[in-house]
Amino acid sequence: MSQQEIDQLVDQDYKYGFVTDIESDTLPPGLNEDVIREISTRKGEPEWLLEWRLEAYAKWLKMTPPDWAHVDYPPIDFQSISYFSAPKKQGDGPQSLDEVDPALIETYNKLGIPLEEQKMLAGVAVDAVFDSVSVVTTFKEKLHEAGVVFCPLSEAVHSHPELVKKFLGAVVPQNDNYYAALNSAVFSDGSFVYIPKGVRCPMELSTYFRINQQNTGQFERTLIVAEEGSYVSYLEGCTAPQRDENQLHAAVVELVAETDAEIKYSTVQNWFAGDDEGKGGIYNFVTKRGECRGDRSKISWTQLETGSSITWKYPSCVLIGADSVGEFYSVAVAGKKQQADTGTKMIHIGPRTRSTIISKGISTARGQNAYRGLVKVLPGAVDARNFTQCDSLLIGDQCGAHTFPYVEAEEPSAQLEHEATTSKVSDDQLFYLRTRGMTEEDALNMVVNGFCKEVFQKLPMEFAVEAEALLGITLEGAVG
Amino acid sequence: MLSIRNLHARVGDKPILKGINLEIKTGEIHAIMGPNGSGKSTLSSVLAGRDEYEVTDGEVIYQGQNLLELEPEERAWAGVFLSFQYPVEIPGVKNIYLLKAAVNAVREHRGQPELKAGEFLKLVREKLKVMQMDEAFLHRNVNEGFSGGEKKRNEILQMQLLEPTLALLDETDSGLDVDALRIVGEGINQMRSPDRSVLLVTHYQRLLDVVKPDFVHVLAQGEIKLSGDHTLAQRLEREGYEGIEAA
Amino acid sequence: MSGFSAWLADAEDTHAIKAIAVGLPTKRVESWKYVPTRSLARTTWKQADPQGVEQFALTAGSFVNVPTLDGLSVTEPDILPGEQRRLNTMSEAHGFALTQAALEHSRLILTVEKTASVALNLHHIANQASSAGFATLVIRIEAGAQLTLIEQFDQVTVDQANLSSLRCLLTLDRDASVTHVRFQAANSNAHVFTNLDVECGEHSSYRLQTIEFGSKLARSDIYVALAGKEAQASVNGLAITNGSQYHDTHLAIDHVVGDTRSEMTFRNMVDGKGEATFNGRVLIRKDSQRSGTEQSIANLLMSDSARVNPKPELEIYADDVTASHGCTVGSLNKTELFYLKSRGLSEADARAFLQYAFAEKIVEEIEDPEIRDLVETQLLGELTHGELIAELKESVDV
Repeated sequence: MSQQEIDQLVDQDYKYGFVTDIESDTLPPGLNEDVIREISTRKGEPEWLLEWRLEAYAKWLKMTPPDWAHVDYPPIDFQSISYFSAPKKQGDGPQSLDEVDPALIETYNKLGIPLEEQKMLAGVAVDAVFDSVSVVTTFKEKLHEAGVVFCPLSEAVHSHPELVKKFLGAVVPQNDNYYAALNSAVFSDGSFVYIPKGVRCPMELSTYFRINQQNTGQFERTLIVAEEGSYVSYLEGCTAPQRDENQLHAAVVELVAETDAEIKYSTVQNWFAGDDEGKGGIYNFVTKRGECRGDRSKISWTQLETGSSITWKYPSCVLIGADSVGEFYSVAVAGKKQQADTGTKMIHIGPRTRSTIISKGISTARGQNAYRGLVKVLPGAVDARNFTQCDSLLIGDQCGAHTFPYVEAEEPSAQLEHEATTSKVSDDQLFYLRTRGMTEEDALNMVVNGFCKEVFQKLPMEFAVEAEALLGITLEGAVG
Repeated sequence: MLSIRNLHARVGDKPILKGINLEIKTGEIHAIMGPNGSGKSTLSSVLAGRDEYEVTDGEVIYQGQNLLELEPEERAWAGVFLSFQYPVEIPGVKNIYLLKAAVNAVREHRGQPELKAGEFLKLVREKLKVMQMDEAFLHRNVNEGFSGGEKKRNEILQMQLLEPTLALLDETDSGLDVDALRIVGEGINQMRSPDRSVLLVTHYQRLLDVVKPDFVHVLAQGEIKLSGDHTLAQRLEREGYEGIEAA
Repeated sequence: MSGFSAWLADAEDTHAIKAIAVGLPTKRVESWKYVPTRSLARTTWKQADPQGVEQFALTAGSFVNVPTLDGLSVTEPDILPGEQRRLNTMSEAHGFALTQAALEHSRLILTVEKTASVALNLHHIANQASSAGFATLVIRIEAGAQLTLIEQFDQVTVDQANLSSLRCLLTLDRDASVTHVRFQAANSNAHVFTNLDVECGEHSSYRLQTIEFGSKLARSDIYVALAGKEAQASVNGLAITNGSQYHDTHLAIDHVVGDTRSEMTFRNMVDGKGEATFNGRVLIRKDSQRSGTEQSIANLLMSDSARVNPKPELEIYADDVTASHGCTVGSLNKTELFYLKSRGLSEADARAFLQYAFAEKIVEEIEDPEIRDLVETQLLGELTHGELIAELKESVDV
């Protein structure tokens, strides 16, 4: 294949790039204490939450943006961002899908989110965050029967104040890092999930995120608490419309798993990646962390990261309870001029804690993909185990693949293993498949899908199908 | 020499041995045969003292001592030798270091004088000849890069040097070609003595053509289902384990 | 404030001014994240006095008894622009590197002439208490020349903190080959700093074996640039860290051009309250096609208070490459221990065997028999139950 053909193929537009025309109630750009008060007032928050936000803001002011990641971008002007935006027709909230703004439904349909039928048939409740305010929640009743709380965090602040107060910031402290501090000060909304003792959540919980307001930073905040012996699987997927200016996305996700509880958190991330020059893409600076507090608890992160112009994200597990388990399965694709610096942290504190890290990085075009991970074993984490495998695939000679695995071990009975490989797609494999009648593109797809298989298998069924399709779209024209 | 009484053992929560009874007298050769998963390897591992296996009931008396209470090295000192199904590779340690350290450790506990370098080398060379092994083996790292057959020959070489009173040979014939099988078999035969007992654990009958056992036991589902003389092995070969189990 | 402030203030050099301004690196400096700088900061350092010795040695920041050898010439301190650039880069790496540059006491420039074959054995002589020596060694290895460079440390006792720093530039012209062995067995109060910058020309070959047993604190910054086609580098190392020792190696191999190969194998064995850090970085630049690299790092933790921080990094910008790394942390393998014990070895002897085996994988690669024996003997001394193996070696190695 000639270079020209390759260039043509690599040069493909974002399939989900469009803007929905909905009137918004948006604050003017800028950030100060008054803005935070205004956000809090508009959301009708209690006094303690405003104080909490202001406290975080004070901490944020004293912090500096991190510079250690393998990413490069111009400094962000935090005063040029608007920190609040809500669809106008919020009112008392829709009682059914019929009451939802039709333009919004239209957007979901364009995105192929089967909100009305498919998900319902599949028994999935969808809590869709459109910009900063949750619009619709379905299947609430069924969950209610099981005793599961699944609602927007802004609602939980009123309906379950003691739970929110207890767990907000309990896993990711306000000053954990620069972007977590910013989020703590201005967080818009997100999901709140509470699974009571012994309850197995009757359905997969899924949330779709969209960024739709120009210059509106979106600061989701999600909190999931799984009490003793409970189980929940949470899905999060996102795709965003095309933009000319960079959009900041700084989310915080906190998970708490008590004794024998299990949380499975899956993400498909497809924010707008920017054009070929990286212009207009999303800055995705996310803090995700789970605490396995109880014995035998388990937290599993699975992610497919294909979008954003910059991704800075390390879903982590703090393994406190004895025999607790942390897992991280990731496929990250960096094409165009995307930069991804992602990985995980596994902190082993309790005895016999185990963790597994499987990371698959794919770089194409001028993408830069970095795995950055930490496995830390504290004294007393007797017989802790970790297995890490990081594989990188390079497609084309303009991209980069990087591996930065940190290990800090202080427990002699721990056993840690790390393996990594970097290679290009083997010509032999492609040739073999082509002699069997496949096009070069199909052959590549097959090889890459095989490369990612281990991770896709960890996604819930219907998500795995979407993930493979998304990967296929992302790789279109990447044959090199 | 060795009495196994009502031996029960498990791995994790899974019971594997469910009441093994076996009496091995001095000078006898016993063979334990059985299909995969019958508990053969568990039995030899328990006898050798691997700590992944938990004995839940029963006892094993070796020369009047409770064998199960002994550490692996104490078993070796007491004259028990285990030939591994998968001999362990130890890069960085020369084979001869292990051989000499082992021989002298065992001799010391038997109240025998330590072998001087010259005596030791003479002895090793003699045994190498029996096992048809090249002297270069001594200076290679323990089992590192050895073929399957070389590893097994190295095990029997160790047995010859350590002169145990009870040898437990776990799947010693697996992975051997015809020639290696003959050499290993002869190495075992050479160790036959009225003072020494051997327990062979094997899946196939072929080693038993070379080393003729006095008794054959069939192990299945963690129990000895059938015992007999060496003709039982031939019957197994003809009829398979299923036929025997059904009987 | 660092323990060098007063000395730096006297040095009146641009590096010194910067070094004072920057200070010693803190935990926030990524490459110094784990380094315990307390003793560096708390000691009031001064220039060491040279010791009388007879061999080619580095004492108090000076080279003494530079040998006269066929094919080896001493060049007047006249640094080439390329070398100066590399020294500047080295100096800018972190606050302590600035100090090393600023306090340089002497500089030796040697040339191994075309197609010559030279063996150099440099002895590091310990400095007295609270004193330090800083020196720079530049060796140019001309086309087709061969150099064997062995660095070893004398075994002495110094009661208090002492420090020695060597910055070393090696430049391999085409077809040159260098075998470099560093055996660091400095006294238990020593602070040993090594900054090594190697540039490999076309079809040249550089091989480094670095063994760290001694010192209180040892830090090595090693950078190897594969700058010519078909250049290759092999770096392997062993650190045995005991008591409250801290050993730290930051190694970077840079595949500047294509068709280059590198390999790094490191092993750390940490006991007592020791801490070992190993950062191995391989960079394969854009257009450095058809390059290959393999990294293997193994860490053995022998006590409850021991700590290791291994980090194998791959930074790859070319697609037609093969790169892999493996890293393990653990204690002695239970199956191996069981195997040895089932052959009659006591627990203590079996453990010593396996520790020896772990270290030996690196030590046995040293070609020079004299230095290898020296390392092996000291290795057995480092092990808690090394006597049995020492006896065995004595009796059956012929």
